[in-house]
Amino acid sequence: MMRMFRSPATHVLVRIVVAVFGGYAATWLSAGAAALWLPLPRPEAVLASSVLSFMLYTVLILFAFASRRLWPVAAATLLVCTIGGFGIWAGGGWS
Amino acid sequence: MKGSFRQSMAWLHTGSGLVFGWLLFAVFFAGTIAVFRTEVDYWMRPELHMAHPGPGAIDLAQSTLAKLAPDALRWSIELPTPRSPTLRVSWSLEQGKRPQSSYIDAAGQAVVPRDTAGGTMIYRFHYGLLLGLTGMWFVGALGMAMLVGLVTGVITHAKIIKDFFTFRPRASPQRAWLDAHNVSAVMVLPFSFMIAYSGLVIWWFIWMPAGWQVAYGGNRGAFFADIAQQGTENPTRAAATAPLVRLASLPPLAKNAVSHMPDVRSIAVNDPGRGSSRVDIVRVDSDSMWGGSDRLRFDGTNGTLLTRIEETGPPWYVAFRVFRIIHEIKFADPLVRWLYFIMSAISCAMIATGTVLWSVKRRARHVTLLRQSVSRPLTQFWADAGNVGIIAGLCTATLAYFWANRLIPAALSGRAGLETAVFFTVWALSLMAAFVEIAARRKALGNAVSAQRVLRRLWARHWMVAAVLAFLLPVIDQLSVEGIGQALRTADELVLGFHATVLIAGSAMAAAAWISSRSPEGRASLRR
Repeated sequence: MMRMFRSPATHVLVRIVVAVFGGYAATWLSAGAAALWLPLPRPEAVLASSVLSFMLYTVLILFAFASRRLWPVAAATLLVCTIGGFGIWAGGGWS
Repeated sequence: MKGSFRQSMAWLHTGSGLVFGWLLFAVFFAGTIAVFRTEVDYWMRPELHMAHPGPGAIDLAQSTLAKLAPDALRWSIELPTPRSPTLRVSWSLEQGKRPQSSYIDAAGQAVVPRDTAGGTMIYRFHYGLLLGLTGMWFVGALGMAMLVGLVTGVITHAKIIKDFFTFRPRASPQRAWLDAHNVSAVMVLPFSFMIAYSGLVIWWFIWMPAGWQVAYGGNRGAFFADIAQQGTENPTRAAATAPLVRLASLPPLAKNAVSHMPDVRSIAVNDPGRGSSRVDIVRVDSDSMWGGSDRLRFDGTNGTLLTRIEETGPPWYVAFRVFRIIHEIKFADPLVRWLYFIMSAISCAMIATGTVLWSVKRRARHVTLLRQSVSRPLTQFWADAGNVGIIAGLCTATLAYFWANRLIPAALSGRAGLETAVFFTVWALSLMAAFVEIAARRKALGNAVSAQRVLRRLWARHWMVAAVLAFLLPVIDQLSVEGIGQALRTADELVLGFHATVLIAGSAMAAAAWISSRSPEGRASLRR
């Protein structure tokens, strides 16, 4: 598995997938959680988290390409996804 | 990635530029024209270049509507503005049906302009490539690519201030293109950041819908109902008739009756001629970028003011609205509008020089390999053909679109679709012509100097075609609808301004053609 990532083409492809789709998932989940948890009236929380979400997405994409190794990128993206997902679950957003 | 932080950012900048550059150029180009969408719409309806109703416009609209649709469910009146001097009335006879509409000239006669896709087609291409929701997702991805390209560009060019004062047109072609790319990028950096980010925010509810999907159980309508201003219910339609008050006598309209009515944009009347009639007046502050606006509601039978709803809201609602307004500039005065136009034109140049730079760099490597007698495939030049076809081709296609507007018979049915077809066909043909020329001259591409000559001639020819179309547009306008002559007689600023802008753009295209056609032998880098 790890050896496969050593091929430069595969490595870049994995990075692109992590950056574009992983970053999007992490941003989506974070924006959803923030819409529930920001201490603002609900429509305001939705607008605030959505307006700011594109900044998070940009940062995640840049980080995915800036880091030397792939695993910190994958770990960080997963971590943000988990926090966001937990936030939505704890806020009752899945119901 | 391998290498330093800056190297990986440079890789990302080049990579995303390569994938998205051409489409991004097209979207920015269309956005630049969309700044003057209303003006282009007006130019493309020459039947409306006539004497427009002046101060009596409201009375004229009211009497026309009373004649045309006395028992309509709803009337609406779009008043003349400096950007669109026409008076337009529309009315709905049945619930759920599209309203009918008509333009009115100074004598109160209905005027039917030609069916045209107008500047609105270019605006729709700007936000959705005319591909519906799929196209909007493409444009959303382009917006993210733009944002990533800008951030990585700034990181890559750490000496950004110094680079701004560095322009070496006589150095190697690659240096000159790099400098041109840097200078244009730094010039409009804050502007393009703002445009990319605000463009993404405008349709966050499509591109990043987590907020309403999570917090409103996937019900978008519920979210929008929650942020909307508390509306006013319409009373049930009364059976009894009651004469409608004279609209022009309502206070906000009477105040501006003599001037060009700068604040009032539109008037809507529900149940005209019934006891339940209500008049809604939308006012905007046209001279302020932030566009303060409000809505006034009157009782249509006696003219009493019932409510005034100001367009305002809590902080994040205002923030969202500001993002929309600075991207769409609905309320800007002419100076701001021109600034937007010029800065977006420079952004187009920034993107175009970026895509050209990419192929120039590759060509430099190509030349080195040629010198080492390593044979290189033709694919090295496909990017050049693409650059010519996309960049110069889009200018040609837009001008051909304007030509089509004047040359397709005004009465032809389905002519609006035909205009759009002309636009895309000419664009595709330009692209194909560039590829065919590269393929046809593949023998000459084996040698660095003659390859350079082929590419220069290719650019020159395409810019020349675009420039000729631009310079002949006033002639076509005059021959087809006597547009220029009439505009000069009536001092129609909009029509004259349109032609002046096209001529200036045409001069820039001619200059590009001239620069490209100069002898390549003088270039130091190739003799070295």
